[in-house]
Formats: sequence, structure tokens, C-alpha cells
Amino acid sequence: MNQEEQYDAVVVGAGIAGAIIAKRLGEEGKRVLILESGPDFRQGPSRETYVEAFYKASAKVPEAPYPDDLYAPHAEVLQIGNYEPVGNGQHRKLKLKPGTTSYLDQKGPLPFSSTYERLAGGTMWHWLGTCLRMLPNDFKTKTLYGHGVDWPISYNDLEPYYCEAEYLIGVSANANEQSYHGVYFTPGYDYPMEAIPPSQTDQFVASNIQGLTLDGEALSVTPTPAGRNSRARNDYDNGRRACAGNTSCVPICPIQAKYDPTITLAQALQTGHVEMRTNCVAVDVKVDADTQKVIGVEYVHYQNDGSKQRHTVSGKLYALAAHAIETPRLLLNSNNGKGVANSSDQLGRNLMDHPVMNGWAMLPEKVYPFRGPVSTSGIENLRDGGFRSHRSAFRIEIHNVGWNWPENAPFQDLTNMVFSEGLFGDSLRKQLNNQVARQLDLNFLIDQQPQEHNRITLSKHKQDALGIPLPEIHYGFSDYDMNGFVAAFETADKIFSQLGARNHTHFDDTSKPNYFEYKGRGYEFQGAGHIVGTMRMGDNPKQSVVDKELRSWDHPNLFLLGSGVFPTIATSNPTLTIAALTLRAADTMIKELT
Amino acid sequence: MVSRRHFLAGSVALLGANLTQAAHPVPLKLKEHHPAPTEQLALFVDLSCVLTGYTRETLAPKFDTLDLKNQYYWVARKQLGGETLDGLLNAFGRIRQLPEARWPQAVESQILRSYGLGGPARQLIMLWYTGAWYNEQGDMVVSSKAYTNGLVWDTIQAHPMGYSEFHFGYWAEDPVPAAPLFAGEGEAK
Repeated sequence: MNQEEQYDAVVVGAGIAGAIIAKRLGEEGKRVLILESGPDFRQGPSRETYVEAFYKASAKVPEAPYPDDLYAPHAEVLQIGNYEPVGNGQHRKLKLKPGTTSYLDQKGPLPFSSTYERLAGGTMWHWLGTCLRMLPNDFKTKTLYGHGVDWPISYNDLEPYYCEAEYLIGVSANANEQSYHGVYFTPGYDYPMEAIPPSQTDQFVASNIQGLTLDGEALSVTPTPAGRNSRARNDYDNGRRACAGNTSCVPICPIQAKYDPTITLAQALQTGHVEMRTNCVAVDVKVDADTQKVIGVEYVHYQNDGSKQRHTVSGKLYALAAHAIETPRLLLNSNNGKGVANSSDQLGRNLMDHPVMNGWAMLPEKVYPFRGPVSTSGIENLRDGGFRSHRSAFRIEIHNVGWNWPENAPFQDLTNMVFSEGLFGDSLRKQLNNQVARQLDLNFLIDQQPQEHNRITLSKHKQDALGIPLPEIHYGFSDYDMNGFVAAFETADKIFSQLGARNHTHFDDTSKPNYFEYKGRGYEFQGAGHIVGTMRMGDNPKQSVVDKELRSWDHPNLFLLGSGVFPTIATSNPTLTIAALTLRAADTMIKELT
Repeated sequence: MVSRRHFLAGSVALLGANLTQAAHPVPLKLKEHHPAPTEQLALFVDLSCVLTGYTRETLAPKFDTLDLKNQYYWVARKQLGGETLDGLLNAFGRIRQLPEARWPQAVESQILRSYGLGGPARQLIMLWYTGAWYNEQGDMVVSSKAYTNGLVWDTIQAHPMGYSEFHFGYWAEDPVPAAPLFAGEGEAK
């Protein structure tokens, strides 16, 4: 092997996990190389370029602003719709329409509906900004409820790192409002910035939901901790602007009031000890057969003109942080396709997402959506409870964008009124205002259980332009998951009744690939963009890929980072926990390099 | 226009009614723009006011830095074809002889209910409201300024997704009033 360079640590992936590791190691004077498959944020396309692309895009999906490089391709939400169901019911096969291509080779029975970006800064370019902590009980659902699997660490182990992560990201929330379901904070601690003010939608739901009790919990509305700037506490100042409510958190914040990892990457690079190479696709993780240590990462550096060069770099430690599909894909394809870090046969398995069920209704009064961050509050009371012994829990995200997700508001309202109802002029304006201003959409993020057969593996027939097998995805729901949908549907109906709202939730287009039936009712789900579980951490090397320090059981100098290491997905959006776990792993890596 | 993660329902299926254009929207080359003939443009703006419910001050302000009226005139000409647009403007030219208060009713009966002119007129509404040209095959955003100045956002008393000129926390307060109605009294509420 041609070992051209030696670093203290080689990091693959410049999303939040890679950025945090690089920053922490760089601050300790360790020499770090980051390999990133996509374009740079320093000399690549600017934020303005991305925003412009979003404005001009006909389909304003999460990927709309971002590039799709030939050599670093990724899945797109629009392609998921190209799968056609064959047969009926839950266990149908999916096939691609002739003439279309998709990056994810989906084998069903249901389509995996979440996507990710490949560029410096990672998928958090298009994250919503939600920074919920996991609940203490989320770490031990097997013990408490007989479902899922226990984490090898507890809330207590992670709590100080949650605090650190909240300052690194810059989270706006009030600790006293977040102390529910057993969540606690280091004494004297509060978030760096005050909670984001609740929208008029939040305010309406909060004052009208009072008195509704479900599963023994009195429902209430809680401001959502958010990685977006509000008013600072004490002397906190991260140098960025306060949120101006652009209502495009997904797919892009035009003013970077919302955190993204380019901020941490820039800090890492400023240490003077970190180097980042972009347009560099890692293709092979090389292992010494005797020591079982990783001895190098081979990568392809491609140019926009299509030219490619292969290189290998070496380090004392390696951290793979290419997210929960690309990291297992790289490892499974390494060692001539025989795989690395997979003696457990768990690599790529237990793929999870938060399947999102929308519940939407017409409110009795105007709340004026499409103003403010996409979501500012949630109903968090049902994230935990005794019901977890027989069905998935969920959190309920209150959206500030009317029926944008379930019914493509306001465009679909407009289209209907203009083309079907024949409205124009003043009557069109009055009717459109009256209809859209009263729309409410609740997003139920359902806690999907880990299942071995939900997995990413290597496609046997399809390859990308570098000849690397595409990710082959097997995905579906358990009864436990689908009973979560049943509860979500019924909960939506009860909430809407309580609010005096007219329930418009309906799932009846059986031709959609994301449609399924369960217990006599149809459902649809969307991906939350929360890709979790494909390289789980655990106490047992036979049942997990990494230990509780995120170190590979098989290779002592290999660390795997990101939401892939979560044993369960719980009900919290994963980013804050990714950051906290990475900060914890950084301590281990620093100790090892010292 | 399809937004966010929602695409499966598609916005295209309901576009069928009375459209004359079946092909994909013709690619827009905005650099070809030159000033539209003055009288044609005046007709185009007045017709657009009736169709959209917005006043001339909104669609074609005196100090018009955007000049969307001129852009949209050429977009419509390119997408509909000169003959159809001229037909539409000629029909409105006859209506414009009437007192202004009678324009909406006449536009409804003589243009929107006309087989040949109703579809193009509705496409003009969509153009002003979204900044995109809609037909049965889909839609095409004219320009980023067209998107951020779509009337739909003013109508719902919001702002374009991705383009806020408001201050931190505005979403907790009552919205700003919408622009004046064309024919109505007071503001759209």
C-alpha cells in the first residue's frame, strides 16, 4: 500500500459528527484530515446560490437547493415516488418505473422515505433545527417495556454532553419547560438562548387543548428547543443573526440563523491542525490482518471535469461519520466486498426512521400559518408511558406551514380555486385567505422499533459512477410500529375535536408507494430524514457493531459516529444526541492520542 | 409548485380544466426581454388586476424596480403564443370600454367562461400568484424574483417561504394586512 500521509485521525464525512470530532481534536493540537465526498463550503457554491436554486425549484423538496454530484450521488424525495406498488396490502413489492433511476435500490415492502445530502456541512443544511434530548426512559425500553433494546449508556452518562452540545449548536429553549418525563439538567444550567416565541398556531392549540387527557397524560403545548438563534442568555454570542422567520428551515435557512455544521467545520479549520479535502469519496477501509487495526482509507478525488485520482491516507485513529447509510455502505464494500467491522453481522441492520403521519384539520379561527420557523412547539406528553409495552410512542410536532406537507398548501388550495372552483379577483383572495389562514397540521413522529431485516446492504446489480454498489434498502413496519400509527390517527381526531377543528385527515390513495393498510384503515407516512440504527452500539460484541465509546468491536482504532450507532430511535429528533455522543467519543479519542 | 416532502399527490392533476397548452412549459429565456408595446402592456396589466384582485399600484407600481408586468407579458406571449394572447387582450380591450366597476363581471362571462380564453386567463392568475407558469405538464418558476413576489403570500398575509423581511418573533403577533383589493372596499381580511 502506498502510504502517503500520516495523521492523528482520519475522519470520513464533514457533517456534524465529523465536524465536532475535527474541532475537538484540532483544539487539542491533533492533526486531523477530513475527507468529504461532496463540495466545499469555502470555495464551492455559496449559500446565496443554494437559496436561489430553492427559489427557482418547481419542487421545493429538501434536496432542492443542493448539488447532486455524479460521483457523490444521493437519494431524492422525488425519486421515492417513482416506485410503483405491485399487488395489494402491506407486503407488496416495489419496482422502479421504466426510464427512471433512484440512488436507493429499494426492496420494500415499503419505501424508505428519508434522504440525506452529500456536501461539506452534511444533511443539517436542511435540518429543521429541533434539539430535543432523549428521555431517560428511552435508554432502557427493553427493561421497562419489553420492546426495542437498551442502550449501553444512560441519560446520566450523556447529560453533561447534552449541555455541551447545546452550547456548541446554540440552542434556544428554557430548561424549566423541558423538564418533563424525567428529563433533568445539571444544576444551575440553562440553554444559551431563550425559547423561540410560540407561533399563533401554537398559541391557539395551547389554549384550546387544555382539558384533554389521553393515556393518563393531560396534553399541553411545549416550545421546541431549536438550533436557531433567539435572544441570548448572559453573555452568550455566537455571532449569527436572530431568526427572521423565513419559514424555509427545511431545506435552507437563508440567513444562517439556524445552525449548520459549516460553523463547526470553520472552527475546526481555524485551529490550524485540521485539513479538509472535498470531492473525495472514501471507497475502502484497509485493515491489517494481524493486528486488526485500520491502516488506511483509500479515496477517490474527483474533479468537476470528470478526472479522478486514487489516494490512500493513514492515521492513528479513524472516525467514520458519513451518516447511517454511507458509513455501512463503505464498510460493507471494504476488504474486497467482504466487509469490515461486521463480525456481528449487525452492520447495516436495524435501519430506522421516524415515519411521520400527518393529521390535518381546519381550525375555527385564523392562525395565519406560513409565518415563522416551520415548527416552534410540540405536544410532547405522549413520548413516554405504559402504552409503550404494546405500541410505539410518538411526539407531535405542530407545524407553522398550514397543510403544506399533507396537501401542498398554499399551491394546491390556489390551484383548486382557480381551475376547479373558477374563483378569481377579490373573491379568490378572500377565499384563499380564509382557507389557508385556518389550516393546522400536526406531524406525528413515530418511534420505529429496530428490526434486523430492515437494513441497508449492497446492491448486487446497481453501481454508482465509481463502480461502488448502490445502497440496497429493505424496509417495513412491525405491528408495534403500526399500532403507533393507529394511536396517532385516533389521537389526531381527539385533539381536533377538542380544538373545535374539522378533521381533514384522510389516507385513501392506495396507489401511493407510502400507503399501507392496517387493522382496516389506510395510512400514509413520510420520512422524517432521521436515518438511524445501522451500526448500533451495545454491550455485546455479537449483537452490536460498536461499544459504548463508539469504538468498533473488531478494530480497536476505528470509531463510528452518527445516528447509525443509536440502538433505538426513541421520539426525539436525532441531531442533538448525535452531537452529544460525538463529544463523548471525542474525549475517548483525545485520551487515546495523548 | 410542489413543496417540501410532499410530492406524491402532485399539483398537476387538477390542472386539466380548459387549458390550451399541453406541452411542457417552453424554456424561458428572460434575456430576450424588451419593452412590450405600451397599449398591449396597459391592457395586460388591467386584465391582470381584474383576474388577481390586486390594484395597479401593486402589480405595476410607478417606480417598478421588478418590472414583473413586462416579464410576465413576454412569458405569456411565449407560452400561449402571440395569437392567443392577442385574442385575450382584444377581448379585454372591449370590456375595458365599460365602467371599471363592471370589468370583473364582464371578464367572468366573456373571458373566464370562454372555452378558448378561460384557460389562458387562469394561467395568468397562477403566474401572478406563484411566479410560475402552470400547465397540465407541471409548472416552471420564471425567476427567483418572480417566486418571491408571488401574490399568494400577500393573500395569506404571510411571506414567501425562504424570504422574510420581518423581525424576530413576528410570528407570535398578528399578521400585517394584505394589499388593497382591486374592486373591493378596504383590505382583504
